[in-house]
Amino acid sequence: MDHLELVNKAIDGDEDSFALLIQERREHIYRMAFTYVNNQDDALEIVQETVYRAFISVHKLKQAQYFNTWLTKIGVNCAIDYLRKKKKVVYVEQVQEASYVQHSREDKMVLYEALGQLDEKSKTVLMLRYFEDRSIKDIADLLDTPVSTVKSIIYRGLEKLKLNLGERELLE
Amino acid sequence: MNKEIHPLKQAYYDIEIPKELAQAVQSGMERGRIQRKRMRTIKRWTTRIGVSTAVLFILLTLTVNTMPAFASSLKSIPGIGKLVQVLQFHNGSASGGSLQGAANIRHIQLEKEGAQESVILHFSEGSKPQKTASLFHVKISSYPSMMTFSMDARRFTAIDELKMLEQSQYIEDAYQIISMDDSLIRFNVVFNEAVKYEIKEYEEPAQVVITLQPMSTADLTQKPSMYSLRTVSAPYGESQGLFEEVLSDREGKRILKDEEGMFLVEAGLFHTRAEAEKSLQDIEEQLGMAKQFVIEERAFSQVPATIMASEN
Repeated sequence: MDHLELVNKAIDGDEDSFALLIQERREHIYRMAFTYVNNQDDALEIVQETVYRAFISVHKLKQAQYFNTWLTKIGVNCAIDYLRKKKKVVYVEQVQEASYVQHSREDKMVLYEALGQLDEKSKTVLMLRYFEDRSIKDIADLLDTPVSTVKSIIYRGLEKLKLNLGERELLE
Repeated sequence: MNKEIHPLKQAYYDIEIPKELAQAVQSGMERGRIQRKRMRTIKRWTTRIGVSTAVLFILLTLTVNTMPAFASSLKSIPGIGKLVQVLQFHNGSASGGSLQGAANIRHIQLEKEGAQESVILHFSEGSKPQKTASLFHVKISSYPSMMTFSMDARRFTAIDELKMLEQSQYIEDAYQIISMDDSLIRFNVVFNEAVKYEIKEYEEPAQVVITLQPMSTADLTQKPSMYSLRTVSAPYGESQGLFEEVLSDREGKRILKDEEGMFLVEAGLFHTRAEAEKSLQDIEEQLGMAKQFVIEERAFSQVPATIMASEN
């Protein structure tokens, strides 16, 4: 069965189709979540929340071809909500997280530190653009932000990370 | 892709996928399933309430909501949140609130101000006051005049405070009725006469406020008795849930407490005994359950009588 057919069945309430669609995307959701929280437990919790929110609102999805974009949007929102909630509650844990990070694999730390320099929105935009390979237009839709703003977020984000990707030409 | 971002992308794809991921997805779907079921149950309560001729007649004679007289209400009560809406009733039904987490109906408060009284429902989620009221549905019915609340909530710590509502000059009784769904809490508020009412929803903190005023005497015309087709009395329990389920296509069905504190399920109210008997025949034909049902003549503000099953 092709992707669109699955999405349409999921919209009509078919749980098996929904499960298959999630299975295709679950690792992506997990990686995105992990990028925000940098630990497994929190990332898993975000995945769970994302699946839950998607499950109860999939019937409202109007255009089947945007399922993955829609799901990504839910995932990003869940992650950001999660961070906000967490910030309000515990500070002690953040210290523990940091020490955990130092023991984890080096490449993880590179990623975390690099993206850690950015605010949430810039982090989201760069992650979607360069790790998830989303188009700028897609990101603009996903974040309900004008294309021009997305471009300038990318530009400033890359500058901050001191990365030069030749993206400047693209942005002009 | 430029060289410099490559290590970051590599690190991103090196993020280890834990074996617990499948379980997290499962749990999310399971929560979704439960939530879908709750939404369906509540929807059933908000849509199945209908317009049998008897019900319509009752509604026309019962009450009027949203009176200008209510406009200044509640100004003097401290701790009231921001007004979300004044509930609009259609065919005696109205809904408010929105889906919340594991809500608790925490506290019920009765405020009196001259002839006007307000019943205030407070909610909490965990240990905190809830911001937005849980999804709820109210149905108005008559013989006796009452409101049936169905709320998307898990806990009802204010249950003992229902009893306290009898201190109201308008409220005859308030009691919980059984719910076969553990995330749906239901209760009836029975009035001792026809009242004017208004229901408002507030947020931050979430509250539902029922304001009651006396009917002007001009509205209190003599109402003829009606004929209730109902089950025999039984103690509070699942039997009401089961009868309600088998009567699910009957729009006027409701659970009531009788004069001795037993419970019954009413299938419908009729103007004449003949209509009630015809409906009883239908029940016999469709369900073969005529023995469990009786026809009771009831005056406008009369609480149902206790009628036990006959021995044979």
